Amino acid sequence: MNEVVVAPIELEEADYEAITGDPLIKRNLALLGHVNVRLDVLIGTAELSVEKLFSLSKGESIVLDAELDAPVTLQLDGKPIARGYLMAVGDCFGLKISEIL
Amino acid sequence: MNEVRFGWIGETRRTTLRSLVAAEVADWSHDWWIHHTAADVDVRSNYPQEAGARKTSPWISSNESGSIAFHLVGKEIDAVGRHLAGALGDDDAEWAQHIGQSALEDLAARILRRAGIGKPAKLSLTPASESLGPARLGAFAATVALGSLKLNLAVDRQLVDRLVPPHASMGANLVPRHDALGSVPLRISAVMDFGKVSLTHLSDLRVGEVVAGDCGLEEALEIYIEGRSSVATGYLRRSGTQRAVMLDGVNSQDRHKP
Repeated sequence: MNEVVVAPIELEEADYEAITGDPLIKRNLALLGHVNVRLDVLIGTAELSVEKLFSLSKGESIVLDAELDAPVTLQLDGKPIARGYLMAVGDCFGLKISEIL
Repeated sequence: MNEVRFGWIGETRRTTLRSLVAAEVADWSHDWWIHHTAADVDVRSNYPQEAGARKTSPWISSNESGSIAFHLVGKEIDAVGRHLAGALGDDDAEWAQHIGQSALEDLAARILRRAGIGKPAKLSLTPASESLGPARLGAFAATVALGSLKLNLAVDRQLVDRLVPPHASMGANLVPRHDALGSVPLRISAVMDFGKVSLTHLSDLRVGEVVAGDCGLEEALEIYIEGRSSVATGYLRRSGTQRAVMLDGVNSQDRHKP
């Protein structure tokens, strides 16, 4: 039987400087197609004083600055990416897109 | 760390302080200067010099409540004794020094007593501290003249504040911070966690398309403050023609949006 030499491995020092200016991975979102992202829908906002905030109790309502028929905003990572109207899709909310870039 | 407050004392306090020092010097001169006449005693406020600007060390009485210093303007302390006693010659140098030092210690004690300091430290030749130096640190200085004898006197801010306390209130009464916060406006937002979609689906979204979310019709919304901290949950409702949220529960204080 051949004798196997066992020796520690020494890694080469990583070079942090790019060899050329071109990105190695092309900007192709299709590569990320399977990645799931979480979306939020901003329903509306309101302004409250600190005192009011700390006096709120269960069952109390806060009136938002959005009209009932105004579009809501779809957000990705806190950034608005589309607007649309809330719909009922079965037992869940859905969004009918009205504006998107 | 040695903390020295920055800032000049106001002109009103300087004037009051000069008058206070002048009154003490007049009484002291009456008791110590053999040729005392009120007309020959003069006290003028001036601006103290930097500690490093003087070539000689001053005589200082100092404790934790404040410091007072006498700069003798190129003279020795026995010269003060000779001037006060009037008739001492070179043979009486020891007596002249004793009288000079005792007299200045008495003047320091009188001023310190006015500041409520009952047991003043003895005078000693000490390099002037920074607090007795520049006017920008609140020190006060005056030139004292008894006839032809001139000496400079300086007191630090601690002593100044004891002699002529600053007015505590410079305007409206202070209110507790919590009370002041009460009316600060905050913007809250009602946000629905819509669920996850793949980037492929996101890229293909078009106007008119309906995206089904994961949020049930009876699920609660999150209430965020300034877009960051989630503080409560509530259900989507209406209030007249406006949307509203009816509060249901409180979130833990440390939930934040990423």
